[in-house]
Amino acid sequence: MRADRPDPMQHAPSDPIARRAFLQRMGAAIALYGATGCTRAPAEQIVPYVTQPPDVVPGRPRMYATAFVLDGYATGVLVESHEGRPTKIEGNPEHPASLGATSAFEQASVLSLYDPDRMRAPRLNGTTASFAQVFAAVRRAALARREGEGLAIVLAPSSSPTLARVLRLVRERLPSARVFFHGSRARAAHEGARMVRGRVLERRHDLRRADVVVSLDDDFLARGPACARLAHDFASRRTPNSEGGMNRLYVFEPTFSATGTMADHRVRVRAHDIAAVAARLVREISKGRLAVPDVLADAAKGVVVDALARDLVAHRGRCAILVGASQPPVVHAMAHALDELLGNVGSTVTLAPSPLLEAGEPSHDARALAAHLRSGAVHTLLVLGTNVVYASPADLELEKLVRAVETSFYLGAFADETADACTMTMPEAHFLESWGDARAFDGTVSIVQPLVAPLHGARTSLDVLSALLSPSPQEPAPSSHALVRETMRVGHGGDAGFEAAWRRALRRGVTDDAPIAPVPPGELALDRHALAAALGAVRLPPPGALEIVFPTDERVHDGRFANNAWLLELPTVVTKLTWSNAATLSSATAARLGLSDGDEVDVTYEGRTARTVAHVVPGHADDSVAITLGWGRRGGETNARGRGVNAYALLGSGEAIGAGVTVRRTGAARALAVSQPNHDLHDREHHIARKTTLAALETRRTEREKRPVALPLYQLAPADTRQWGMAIDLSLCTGCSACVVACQAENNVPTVGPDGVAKGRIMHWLRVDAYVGGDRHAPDVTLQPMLCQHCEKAPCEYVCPVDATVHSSDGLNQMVYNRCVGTRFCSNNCPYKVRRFNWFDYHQGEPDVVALVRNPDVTVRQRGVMEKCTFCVQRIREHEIAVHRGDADVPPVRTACQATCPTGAIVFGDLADKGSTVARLHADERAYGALEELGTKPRVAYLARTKNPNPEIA
Amino acid sequence: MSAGALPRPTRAYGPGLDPEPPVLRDIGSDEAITDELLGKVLHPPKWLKWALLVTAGGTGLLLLAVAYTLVTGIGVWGNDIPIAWAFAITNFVWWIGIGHAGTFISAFLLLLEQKWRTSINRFAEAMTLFAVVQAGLFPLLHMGRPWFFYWLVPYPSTMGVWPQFRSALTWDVVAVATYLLVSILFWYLGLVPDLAAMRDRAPERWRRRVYAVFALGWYGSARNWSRWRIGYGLLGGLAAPLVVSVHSIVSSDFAIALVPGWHSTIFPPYFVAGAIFSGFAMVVTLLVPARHVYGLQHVVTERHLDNIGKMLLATGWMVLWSYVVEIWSAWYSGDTFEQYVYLVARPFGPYGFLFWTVLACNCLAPQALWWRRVRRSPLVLWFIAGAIQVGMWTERFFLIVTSQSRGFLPSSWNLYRPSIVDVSLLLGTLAFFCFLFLLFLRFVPFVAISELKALRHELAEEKRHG
Amino acid sequence: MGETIFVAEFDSPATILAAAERVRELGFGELDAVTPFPIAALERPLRVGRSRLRWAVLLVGLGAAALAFWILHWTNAVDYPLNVGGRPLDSYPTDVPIVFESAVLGAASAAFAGVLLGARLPRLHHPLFELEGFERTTVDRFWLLVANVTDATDAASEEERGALRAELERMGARSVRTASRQEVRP
Repeated sequence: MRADRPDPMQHAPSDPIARRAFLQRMGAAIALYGATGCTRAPAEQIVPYVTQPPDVVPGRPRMYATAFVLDGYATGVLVESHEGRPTKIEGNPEHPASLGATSAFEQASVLSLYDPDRMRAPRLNGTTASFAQVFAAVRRAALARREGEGLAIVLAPSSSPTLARVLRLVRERLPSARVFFHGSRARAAHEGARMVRGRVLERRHDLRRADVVVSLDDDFLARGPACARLAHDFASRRTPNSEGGMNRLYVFEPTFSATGTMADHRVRVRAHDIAAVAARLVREISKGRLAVPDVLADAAKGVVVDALARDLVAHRGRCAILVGASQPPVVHAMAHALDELLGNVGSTVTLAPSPLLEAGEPSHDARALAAHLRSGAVHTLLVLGTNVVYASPADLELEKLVRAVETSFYLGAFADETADACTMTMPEAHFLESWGDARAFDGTVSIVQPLVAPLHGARTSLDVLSALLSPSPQEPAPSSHALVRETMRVGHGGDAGFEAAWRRALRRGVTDDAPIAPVPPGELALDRHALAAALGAVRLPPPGALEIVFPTDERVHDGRFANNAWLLELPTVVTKLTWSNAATLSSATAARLGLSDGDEVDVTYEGRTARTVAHVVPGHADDSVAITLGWGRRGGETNARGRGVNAYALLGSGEAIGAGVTVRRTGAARALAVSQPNHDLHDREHHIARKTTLAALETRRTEREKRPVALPLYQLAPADTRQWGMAIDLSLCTGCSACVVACQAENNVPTVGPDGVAKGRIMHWLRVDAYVGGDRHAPDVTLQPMLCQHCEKAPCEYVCPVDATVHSSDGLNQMVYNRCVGTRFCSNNCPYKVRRFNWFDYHQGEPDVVALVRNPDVTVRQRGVMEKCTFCVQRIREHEIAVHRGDADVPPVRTACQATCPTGAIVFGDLADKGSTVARLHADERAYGALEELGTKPRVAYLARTKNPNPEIA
Repeated sequence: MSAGALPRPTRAYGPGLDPEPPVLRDIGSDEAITDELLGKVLHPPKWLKWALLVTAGGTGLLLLAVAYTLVTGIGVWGNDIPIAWAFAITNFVWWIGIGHAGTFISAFLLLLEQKWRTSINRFAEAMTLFAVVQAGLFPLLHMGRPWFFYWLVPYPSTMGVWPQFRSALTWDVVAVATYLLVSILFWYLGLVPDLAAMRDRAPERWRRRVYAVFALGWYGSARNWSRWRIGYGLLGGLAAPLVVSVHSIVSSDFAIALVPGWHSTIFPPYFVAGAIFSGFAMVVTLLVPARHVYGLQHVVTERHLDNIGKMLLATGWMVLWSYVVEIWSAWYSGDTFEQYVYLVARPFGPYGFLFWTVLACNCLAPQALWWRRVRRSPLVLWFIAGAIQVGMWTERFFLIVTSQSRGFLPSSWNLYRPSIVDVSLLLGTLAFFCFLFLLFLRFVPFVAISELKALRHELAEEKRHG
Repeated sequence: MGETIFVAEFDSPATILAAAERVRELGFGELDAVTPFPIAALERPLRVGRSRLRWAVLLVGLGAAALAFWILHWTNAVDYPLNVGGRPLDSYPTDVPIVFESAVLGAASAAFAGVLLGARLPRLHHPLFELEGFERTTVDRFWLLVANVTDATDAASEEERGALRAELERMGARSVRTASRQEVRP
């Protein structure tokens, strides 16, 4: 039994090391090695984040700056390390893509580091081998023929300057070798740019300047390489009293996205018809200066589009149009046209070359790869860090092709589909174990530095390529660390002051070199004829024809996070579905197809069929079926295997949107694990989740309405200490759910699995409630982050028979796990139902390696006790200790949810200090307490969700 | 089982129906009655052995379910958030309610000097005891960490903390414990003289010895009897308010919470009425078969059935009235949340069918008791009582569960489905209850013999003086 | 100088009651009766003293209530005061249930204990049990015990005993036996 327990310390599997022993050893190691932190620390010197003390104090975490890379773009992060054990990820305030915030992916990525299913050793023709053996075999195969004849290298999309340099060297040495980038999501955008701009450019938006924002099927607030930054800038204009006035958001989309919930006007349209919407906008705004086929423009119906056109014209130069990655190039091209027409270029949008390597080149085309493999010219295939067999369109049959290759090598984190198809495999290092570098959306370079030596002795893509470069097997190849330093030295121009620059880069998480400069507007032109031609070629499926959409999944992306329990149990924005994907459609379409929610269906597209479950989503476009990618895995990942349906099995190599799909019910029904079964507020808006509009607020201001206050039954003793409180602005909550995962990571919140969720036992301390209101055809969703309200008159407290939950002098509703006997009366009496109960011993029998992710400052709760949000009391106390110690410039307390929120919707602080932001927000005209009429005096104030609808649209 | 040497009473039904059947039929001499009633214990019927075996098996199921719960965790039940209380608490309230009729009969009827009390009070008291034992199991079991149950009791501990006495759960501990102890004392004190009789009549020496110990050396001197009468009266006087208070306190488990559907001041009287209602139903459920198989028709006459029927009718109407008041005040309050629970969720929500079951069982069925004929026919009465048992359990269930499942935040609305373990626990306690009751029939004089004899002479006196 | 105790056996409450009153008239001081069920009327002729049990029960009940109240107050308000739901440390209304229940428990225990003490129980044995036929007491026999009968052998005493025996038999005693106090009233 113990033998197959994964071990954190890379010892013989027969002798796993318990976390306690591990930490003791850490303690000893620290005493011995001082600065290097601990025995798990990489051999090379890594540099702690600047605001941390230079010396390691056991029990005091250190922050390191590094970068998280997704689809080739970097987001700067700070990683909390407890004696060499990464436990928590925060955003890097100095990084342009983060500004201190992160998405849910960064938050959850730390769990993947300790994933017990990670590949543990290289394999050679099906048997375990040493790294040296496999490297030798790879060299032998790759260098077998002169100039890399028959060698193909498949990489994940990357912006790494070092990789660029190494690839150059590889090409010099092996000119005939072919290099491919697999799984890029920016292709359509690049194509669109090439179409009308003549070259590959990326549109960068500055939403701080945008009065009107349009999303054409783009979930820019929650997903994409710059989502945290875009959300931050968008939020800076989203409240009634934000300077520059409140912006207005129009969203056209088939599926209900986080961005859609924020829209002032959301129109649900088929993904295909987005092109029509864009075309109509072009026609209305260009007033004929651009040729738009009327059949296309007229396909877009509805008052909203025309009103939007007028609104855009009214805000010339102060509007932004964002287009989703899954939209075809022509729509992106039209966005470029609109930029020109509205004079946004240079103000709200700038155009710059992509930071991605070989952006827009054929090497990014999966079809090219397939063709090359099919040609039979490949005898050695190196797949580096991308699950090419799984995450590819079915019609390319890449699995068959890869298996056909004589020698195939796979560097991957898991024994997944591609590993199964390759002859040689090698564990890939997690980014917290790797040296590397990457560019942000704007080209800013970050150094990826490891916090811990590879737990299972894994390697990076750079290591593999570098092995190809070394002249002879005897000669050790330069390490990825050396390669990265070399790249930077070259960029730095010699050794002068390099070390300082290097250390500075590691400290800050960004290098000194400037981001990629945008192309000056003067040098830009718009190819009207190309656009006209493209528009002429657009063919929309007839109205009423069923389409199918394959978006990346908001939880598992393209499947790379499919084994991450935190993300698997993260509920979707609107319907709160967990642990699975489904064929989502609108109630009208479901009715038309004779389906109801939970029906098992066979979806057939281009002759390929997949079996899944119909899931009715309010606000979903009619005649559109969406199945997110990344599910239905067949690899060796225990959490991922067999969950949901594999949409790649349907996906064609054409566009990510398809027509001519049939959905047939099998007669069976399957229950989906939904964490919030009911979305109807039952006329309780005013009690729970208030909504208002900018206009209504202004009238109220003039009328000077008084805010009713609940009269207290008992007088509370005046506070002599700090009084912690929180304010949540519902206008700013996008429902991206990064806070939920952050809370889970910070507070050791267990996952309960699909059955647990279905039973109503999800453990999240912080959840985002979604209420669907408005009319059935244009429903609007109110999102409400719900956590312990830390009521001053807490109903949970006086019903506890053993004083297990009591109030602290600084206003926290404390939960004393050791005292709790589990009567659950507190949960019954909590109007907000934020208390969670340990129905089982959720941590029992979990692999030791998983225990490494736990935050040592937070108790791991045992079976039979209640738990709930503590306002991150461990952070509060740490802060107080620091202040007490007299540390210089102690940063203010920030709860985990607050720290990661890209829009700053969550504010935490001292209510007793009338000058504090939170106190000001509690006094705000929009502030109210949820169910405040119960007299619970919640310490969390909500600010009514405010929208700014276009007065033109009644 | 024959009624001994005595002639079976002739039941005269029909037009010439005796308006007031006697409390006792002619039961012969003191010796005869003593020998007959003791005989039922000294020479138990054959079937008793098998009945004990069956119920012991059911008790095994209970032990199994308990062990599984303790080892694995409450997760093996169907509970969730928001429905953190379900079967266990329902069973607790139901069982403790059943207990109430016993004490009610013993205490109130004693104080009111109701002659018909004597024949049935010991049944009822025994029933009370065993029901309270079942009830006591559940609060313990349903805790997340039952091994710390004693933290609800104030004792000086190294932790230095004490129980939190604003919580109704600490009240429960005291109330249920008091109820159990007082019930035992009351029952036992009444039993002592009859145990002495057993001591004196038991054929075998060992049995005499055992009963002698429990009889405490009782020999019935005038002084014994006078103290006994005073003490018994006092205990009755104390038990009477106890009955009322215990279920009032149990009801505060819900009434002090602000859950819509629980937060109601009608609960204490409502629960007490319901308790006595279900308790009398349980008395019928046990008494009618026992009366038949033990041939007690002359001791437990139609008069008793008739009176119990009247009690059922009266308490049934109190319960019905409580329903009406509840719903009316919810509507009158204008409170969104209460109105939703009472006017929408309960009658028409996912648990709606339970609501209508309750009305049928608790409000409709008892109306048949307006007819004397029904009240006096054991079989019909028995079936009505059965319906009431079901109805009262269901009432507690939907009262507890629907309220939680439709709380303040629609986002956390959810449903509860009992697990196999939940069901096993309920059935298990039913079996355990019957097991204990059969043991009682096997070893203890289940009719208060000495009191019966006193009553007999009393009635004789009355006759003599007209 | 010892004394004799007359033990007269009756078979109905009426006869023993009449006999008891008659014997009382004759001026015999110490009487006692053993009956299968309580006969309240016997208590007057037998001069069974009024019991102070009621007062004891009342006092113990009040004492228990006071103790309970003190525990609630001291534990929650004095020894370990905590802010629980912003409620006052002393929430008197919520003290009512526990105080009341404690009173009942104390009083009930006192009542039970009082009966045992008052009835001088429990006891494993009583000399009367040795009396032939006494085991029928719990069924249908009623015994009248007349004490303070001198066993002096002078004529007066003899006559007195004869008179008593005759009287008892006249009152319907099934049998009249004599025993020494040591035998029946330890």
